[in-house]
Amino acid sequence: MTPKYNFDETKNSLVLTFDGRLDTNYSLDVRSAIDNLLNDLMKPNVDKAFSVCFNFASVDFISSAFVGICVACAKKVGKESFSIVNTNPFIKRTFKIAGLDEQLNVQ
Amino acid sequence: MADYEKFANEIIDKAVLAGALFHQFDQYQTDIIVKKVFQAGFNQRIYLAKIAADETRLGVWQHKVIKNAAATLLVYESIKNEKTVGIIAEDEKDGIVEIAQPLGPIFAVIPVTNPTSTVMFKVLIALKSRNPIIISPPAKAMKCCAETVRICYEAALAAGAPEDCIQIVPEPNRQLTGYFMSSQRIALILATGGTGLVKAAYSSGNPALGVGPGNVPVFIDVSADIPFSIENIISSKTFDNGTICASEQAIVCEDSIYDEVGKELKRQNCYFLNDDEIARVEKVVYDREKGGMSADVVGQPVSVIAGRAGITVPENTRILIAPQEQVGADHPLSQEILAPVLAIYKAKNYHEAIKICIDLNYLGGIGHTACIYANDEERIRDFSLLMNAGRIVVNTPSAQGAVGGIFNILPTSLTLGCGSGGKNITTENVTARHLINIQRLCRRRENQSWLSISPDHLADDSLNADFFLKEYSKNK
Repeated sequence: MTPKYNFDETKNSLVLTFDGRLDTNYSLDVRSAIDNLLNDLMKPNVDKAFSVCFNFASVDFISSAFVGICVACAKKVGKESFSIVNTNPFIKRTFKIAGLDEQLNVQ
Repeated sequence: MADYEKFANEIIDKAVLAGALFHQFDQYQTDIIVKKVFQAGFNQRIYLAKIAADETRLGVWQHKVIKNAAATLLVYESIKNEKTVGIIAEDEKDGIVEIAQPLGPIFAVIPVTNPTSTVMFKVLIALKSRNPIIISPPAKAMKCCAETVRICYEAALAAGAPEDCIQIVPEPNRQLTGYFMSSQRIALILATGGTGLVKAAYSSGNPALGVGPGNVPVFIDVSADIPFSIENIISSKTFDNGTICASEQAIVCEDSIYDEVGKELKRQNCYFLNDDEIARVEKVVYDREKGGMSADVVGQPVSVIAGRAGITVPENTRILIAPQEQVGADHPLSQEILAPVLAIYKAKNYHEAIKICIDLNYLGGIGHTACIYANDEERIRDFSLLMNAGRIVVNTPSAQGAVGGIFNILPTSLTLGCGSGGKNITTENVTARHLINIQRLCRRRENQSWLSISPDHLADDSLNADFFLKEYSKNK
């Protein structure tokens, strides 16, 4: 299951949009799809800068498994090229308490 | 960074993340997790009791079943209706709203005397307050603690709890424990164990809820129902072979009822040691170099202790009774022995009896538990006012009474606070409400009495406290 996404070829940037509960089951479902998508998009442009943004505008719950996806994704594209945007304050606080808000560029 | 530090940090990293994710859970979701974990632990109470007794080689497995049942069913009953998430109280008139927040990762040290029950108790109160917990088992109870953690964790995960909300340190040692305790990312230490451990917890720089050692005096007043008192004392002192630190350590009674008390003890299969036998038992149960009870008699039955002491007692003996006259460091049996060995003191009169109780209470058991059997309200009150004990249990077996929920309505707990006497921050039975931060939203409610005092008056050196007291309460 691939989440909604938008790829801007000129900027070489990928925005993935999530909503609702990103619980363990959902995370298990999307993990490989996200991984495959990143591989497909990064491969032809291996020499160019590539950025990934997770849009959390409608996310109201995250699980440990989804945090794992965020960390893996940030590692793959590089810390500076990964961000999570439009978090609600509760999700923002969750990343803050976990000590991951800076590492994952949570906005 | 040393290997043990890396190892500890991996566990703490996971606990921190679990703690962050736990903030998202509401009261309903939290309560479902707690219920499922209680059910899983309760359903395995017999299995866990047997493996705990097999591994530790102390106590009585049937009694450990009761401990496991109390640590799950009674703990669950005592916390299930507590509000521990979000807004927990609102006072419209005073303008105060109380908001509960979790603390964060809890480092929980487990005693060998009550391993599986203490793990389940601490897990339940941690989950109820949405805190991740790291269990540090004793070396002699690692397997049974790991099995308890596995059962609780699987149930918690199945109920939707965050991953890694319950973890165990596989092979803790002093260095590793010290590192966990002093980690900036540990929110609280739940330290149940010996004095050294509790001191280390309090010295770590992190908040800690600890316990103190016990030395429980039990006063049988002339107004007491003696057969009832003895029956209760025996049921407590023999429970799990005396491993509970709230169990009775010395009976004290007046001369006028001493013979009757002795007769009843004998009738209920307790054996009075003579002077020679006392000397032999002292050598077995007390470690003079350490200055405390021998670790290897904790939770052992009468037959083992008598055998080691080289004395012969009737097969059905339930407790070894040691008549004593003095209290102090030079009198081993006036001190805490977590085994079925009980001192008894004959006092000339009521005041002498209470003074012996005070001496026993202050000999290594300050702040813990004291026990009285009486039907005279005035004496019960006197005794309570004179003891330095977090729990003064009346006409109740002290081990089961102090734990709460069976013979009284104290919250069921396997971590009994001993107040400043035991170097603890609380005298209460530690439970879920000790594991939350309570934030107070304070609405504006002006103190008109204070605001009506003129700053010019405050700056006037000729006006004293009496003037301001009048001003403060003027027109009320």
